[in-house]
Amino acid sequence: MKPATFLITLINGLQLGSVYALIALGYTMVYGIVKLINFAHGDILMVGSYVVLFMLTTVFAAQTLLAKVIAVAAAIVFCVMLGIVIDRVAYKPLRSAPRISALITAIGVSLALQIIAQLIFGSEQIKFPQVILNETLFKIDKKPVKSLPIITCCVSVVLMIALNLFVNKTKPGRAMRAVSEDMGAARLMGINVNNTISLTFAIGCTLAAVGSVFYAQKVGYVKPLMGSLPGIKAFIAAVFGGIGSIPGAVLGGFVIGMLETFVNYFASQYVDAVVYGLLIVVLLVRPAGMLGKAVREKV
Amino acid sequence: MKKILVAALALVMLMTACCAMAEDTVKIGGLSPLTGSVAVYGLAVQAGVDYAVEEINANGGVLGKPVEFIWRDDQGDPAYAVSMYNQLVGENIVALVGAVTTAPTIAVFNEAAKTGMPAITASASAYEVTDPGNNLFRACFLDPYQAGIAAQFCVDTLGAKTVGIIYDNANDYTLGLYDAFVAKAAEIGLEVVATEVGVAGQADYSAQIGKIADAEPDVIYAAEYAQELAVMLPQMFDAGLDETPLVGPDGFSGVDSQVGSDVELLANCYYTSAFSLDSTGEVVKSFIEGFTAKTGAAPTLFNALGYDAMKIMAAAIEAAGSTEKEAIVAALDATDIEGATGHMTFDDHNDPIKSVFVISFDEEGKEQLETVVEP
Amino acid sequence: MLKVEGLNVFYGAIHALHDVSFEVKQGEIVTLIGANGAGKTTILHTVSGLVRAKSGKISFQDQNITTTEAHVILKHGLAHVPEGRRVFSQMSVQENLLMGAYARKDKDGIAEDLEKVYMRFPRLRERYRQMAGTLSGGEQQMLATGRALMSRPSLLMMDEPSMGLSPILVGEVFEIIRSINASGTTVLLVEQNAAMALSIANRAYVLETGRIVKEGSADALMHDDDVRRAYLG
Repeated sequence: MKPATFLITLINGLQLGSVYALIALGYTMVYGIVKLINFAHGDILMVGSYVVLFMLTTVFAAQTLLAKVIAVAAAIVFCVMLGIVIDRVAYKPLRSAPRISALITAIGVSLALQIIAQLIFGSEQIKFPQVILNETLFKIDKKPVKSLPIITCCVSVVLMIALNLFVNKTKPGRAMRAVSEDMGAARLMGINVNNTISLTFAIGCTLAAVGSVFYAQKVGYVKPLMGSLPGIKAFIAAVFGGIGSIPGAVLGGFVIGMLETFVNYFASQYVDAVVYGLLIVVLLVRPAGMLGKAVREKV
Repeated sequence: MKKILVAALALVMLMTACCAMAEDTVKIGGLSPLTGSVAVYGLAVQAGVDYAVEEINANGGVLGKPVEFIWRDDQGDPAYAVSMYNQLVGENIVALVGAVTTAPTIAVFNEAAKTGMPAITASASAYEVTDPGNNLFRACFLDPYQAGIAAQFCVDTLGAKTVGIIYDNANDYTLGLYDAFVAKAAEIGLEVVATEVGVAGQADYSAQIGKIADAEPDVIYAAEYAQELAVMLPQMFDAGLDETPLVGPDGFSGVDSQVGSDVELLANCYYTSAFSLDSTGEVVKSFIEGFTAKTGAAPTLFNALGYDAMKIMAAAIEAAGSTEKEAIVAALDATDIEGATGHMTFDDHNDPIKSVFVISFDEEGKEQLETVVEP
Repeated sequence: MLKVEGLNVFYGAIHALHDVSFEVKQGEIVTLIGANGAGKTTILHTVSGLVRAKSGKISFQDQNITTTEAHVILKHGLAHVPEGRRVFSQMSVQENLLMGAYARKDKDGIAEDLEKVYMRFPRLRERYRQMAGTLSGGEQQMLATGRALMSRPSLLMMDEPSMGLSPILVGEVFEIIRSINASGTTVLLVEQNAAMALSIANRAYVLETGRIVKEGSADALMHDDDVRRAYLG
C-alpha cells in the first residue's frame, strides 16, 4: 500500500465511519429507551436526502448557500416530525406488547417508507446536488485530498460531543437516561415518558438527517433503497459497540467504517464476511458489545 | 311462448358473440422488474415491447387478431418472478416475453421449459438462461461474447497490455462477464494486474479503486451496472485514474443520464452494446424515429431489445400460422429477421448471432458509435 | 388527605383488588400490612398512577386523581418510594437526588432540599459522585427515600423499605420514617414486617387477597389475636 493511498483510504474510512456512527446513535438511543430495534431508522437517511433533493431541485430555482442551508434544515425538521409520527402511530400502541410485534412493525415501517419513496420519486437513482463544498485541499502523489470527508468527520464529531453534553449535563438528557434505565421509576419522578421518547426519536432523526446529507453527497445519488445498507451497517456498529450505549455506537461506527474501507482495499471479495464475522466474534466474546453493560433481564 | 323462445335464442347468440370476441386476441405475457433496484432496465424493456405491440396491432396484429399484452412486475426477484409467471399462465397466454434480468429469467425459464411455453427474454445474457429447454430464446447477445469482444477491443483499439478489473461478485450477470473477460484476456495476452470486487449499493468504492490505481493498469474493465458506474466514476477521478480508459458491458447503458452535467467523467468510457443510435439499417431508423415520436426520448439499448424480442415472437407466431406451442417454437428456431439491434438468426443454443457495437461519449456526454465488431 | 373508595384493579383476567377503601389523614403514619401478593404494592401503584383502576375513586387533598397521569400526580405532592428502591444505578447519587426534583423549577428550593437530604443522610453526601448501582442496600434505600423527599411531598408512600436489610438497618430505616413524619410529612407505609410497621404507625389496614379485612389503630391491631397469629408470629 502506497503511503498516499493509505492516507486517502484512512480519510475515506473515517468519513464512512462518521456517517455510520451518526446513524448508529439513533439505533442505540431508541433501543436504550424503548428496547426496540428501529429498523426504519436507515430509511430516515433516505427520506432526509430526498427532502434535500426536493428542496434544491423543485422548491428553489438556484442552489444558493441560503437555499442549501434551508434545504438541510427542512430535511432535519421533516425527519424529526416523521420519526415522532412513526413512533406515535406505529410503535406506541405496541409498547406493552411482546417485543417481536414491535420489531415486525419496524420492518413494516421500513418497507412502507421505501415503497412510498418509490411511488413519489420513482425507483431510479437520481443525482444528488452538491450541498457541501468538495474542493481539492491538496494533492499527495497526484491523488487529491478533498474537503467533503474532512467536513463530514468534523461536523460528526462536533455533533457527538454536543450529544454527549446534552445527555449527561442537561435536565432532558438526565430524563432520557432515567427513562432508559427504569421507565416506571422515571414516571414517579414526574417525567413525561412519552415526551421523553419523542425527544429520543427526534434526536436520532436529527443525526440521521445530517448523516443523510453527508452520505448522499458521498455517493452522489439518491434512490429509495439507499438507506438499507448503511442502516444495516450502522445497526451492526451499534451492536458491536454495545446497543444502548452512546459511546459504544460512536466507537462501533468508526470501527465498522474503517474496517470496511481497509478490507475493501486488501481483500474486497471478503468485505462482508469480515464485517459480519467480526460481529459474531464480538458477540461471542462480549455478548453485550464492546462498551455495553451486561444487564440482567428484569423478571 | 314464441316470444320467450326468441328472447332465449337472442340471449344465447349474444353470449356466444361476447365470448367469441374475448377469444379474438392473441394473448402474450410479459415479465419485467417494474419496481425495485433494477426497475431502470425493466421499465426500458417495457417501453420497447409496448411500442412493438402498438406497431404490430396498427398493422393488423398477428394471425389477423390484435395482440393482447399482459404485464406482470417481477421486482427482479426470482421467486416472485415464478409466481407472476404462473399468474400469466392462468391468464392463458400463448407466449412469454421476459424476464429482463438474469436471475429471475433463469427461474422462470425453468418453469416454462416444463410446458414448452414459447419464451424470449429481451436482455438476460448469462449463458445458462436458455439451457432448460429448446423453447427458450433471447434477443440479446451473450455475456461471454460481449466480454470477449471487450477484451479484444482493449488490446486492438486501445493498445492495452495490462488491465485492472472491478466486478460485482454477488450478481450472475457481472460474474459471467468477469469469467469471460478473464478467459479471453489470458487467451490474447492481456495481463490482469488488479482484480477488485465492488458490490452493488456500496457508497464508497475508493478503497478498491485506490488499489487498482496503485497497480497502474493501461485500461480498466468494470463488470458493473450504470448505477454503480455513476457512483464509481468520480471516485476513479479522485484516485487519479481520469486518464485511464474504462471499458464495460451493456449494463452501462443510461450512465449518461445518471452523471448529468458532469460529462467530463465519461471522456474515457467505452461499453459494448447491441444497439447504436448511429446505426444505418432501415428497420433501426424507422424504430428510432417512431419510438422518439411516441415517447419524446430517443430509444436506448434496452428499449431496442424489448422491441426486437416482441417483434421476433410476433413474427414467429405469424409464421407458425397458429398459436400451437410446438409450431411457434419451430418458427422461432427458423428466425431470420432484421431488428432494431441488427440482423439476427439463432444458433444451436438459441442465442442470437449478431454484430457488437462499441459505444463511447462525445464532449457533450452523448453516446456515439466508436466502432462495430462483426461476428 | 388521601381517600380511596371502592377500588377495583385487574391484571388481565386476575382481579387484584376488590372494593378497596381506605383513608390517610394529614400528619399520620398509616400502614398497609398483609402477606406477599395480598395487593399492597398494587394499591400504591394505582394511587401513584402506574396502574389504572377499573373502578373506584382516588382523591388527594380533595382533588380527584383517579385518571391523572403518574408524572402529574407527583406535582400534587404525592411521592412514591417503590419496592426494591429502583434507584437509577447508572447515575451518580447526586443525579438521582436531582431526578427526584425533576418536576420542580425553583432552583433555590431544590438546593435547600438537597442540603436537607444530605443533612438527614450524611452517608449520601460522602458518596455524592458515586454511581448509585455501587451503593449497599441500605444506602440505596436512603437514596430512594431522599430522592422522593426532593419533590417536597406532603404524602410519602413507601413500599417495603425494610426488604433485604439487616436488622440493625431495618431499625435505622424505621427511625428515619418516624423523623420524616415528625418533620410534617404524612406517610403511607406498606410492609411485610408488620411488627415494625405497627410500632411506628398511627393506624393500619390488613389486606388479604386483594381485600381489606381489618382496620383500626396500630395499637389495637397489635393486640388483635388474628393479626398476632397471622403476621406477628
